[in-house]
Amino acid sequence: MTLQMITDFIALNGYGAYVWPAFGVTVLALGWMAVDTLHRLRANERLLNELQKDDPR
Amino acid sequence: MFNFLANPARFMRIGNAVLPWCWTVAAIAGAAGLYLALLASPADYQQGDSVRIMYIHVPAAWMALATYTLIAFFAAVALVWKHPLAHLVAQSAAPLGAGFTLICLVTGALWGQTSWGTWWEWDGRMTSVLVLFFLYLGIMALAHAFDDNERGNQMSAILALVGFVNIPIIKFSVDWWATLHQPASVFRAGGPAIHPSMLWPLALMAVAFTTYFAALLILRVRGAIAARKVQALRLVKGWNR
Repeated sequence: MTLQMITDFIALNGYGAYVWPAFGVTVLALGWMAVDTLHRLRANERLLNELQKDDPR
Repeated sequence: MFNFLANPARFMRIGNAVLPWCWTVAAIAGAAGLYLALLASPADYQQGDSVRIMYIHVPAAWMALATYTLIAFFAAVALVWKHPLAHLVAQSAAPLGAGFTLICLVTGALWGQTSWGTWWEWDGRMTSVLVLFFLYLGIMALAHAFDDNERGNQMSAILALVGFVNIPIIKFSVDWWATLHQPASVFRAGGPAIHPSMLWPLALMAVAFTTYFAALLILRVRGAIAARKVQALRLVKGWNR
């Protein structure tokens, strides 16, 4: 793969300025969804564990 | 089937068993889909390489509609059978649906700018999808707008059901009103009007988005069940901790 091929790929015949931001926004949004999900899950499970440790039932 | 899953412990057991499969399929379909979408598929004869935005825009739009349909279904179940797990599923799906709708709107604006020369047009399709985004936000906000959790859940479920009329409006908006947006080319009478070299990456990305959504939904419901138990334990122990 030559440097020319890589720059051609990134330019996407002039459409790169639209295609890459679209993919970038998608990666960011999907990533945020995962981070938020895992953050909530961990926080709630930690709280639950603490409460259950005090009072095992 | 539904009653079977309505038990939180059973839901978690099955969810945890399905979870690794969701991640695996999402990773494989996503990698293959991206390879085909960005490298192996041809540029469109009219749109050139900008057509590659389709491989995320269209699956995101499908997810936005499917997630809302799922929420409306669980909202109905929650209202009719008063099952608390149904509220948890609806509430857990809402932020994910909002995320997919946002992806759809932003990628659509970028695609619109390069192929129509405008980021936005107040036509039927775009306006109804924007309404969908606000419906998601409303469903999330209403659930927490009341001191009484039960009441918040109910109001949120009612909004979800009322807002469901928007789903057929979105689907058929391109047929009912003059629009810049193209009509359906995959789910249409007469079969997909799209070449297999473009249908494959589209289908793979759709599978990746769906399984990714399923994995996150399982984890969100798990977190919501834990939060529910925390609430219950705190009630038992008194408010002050």
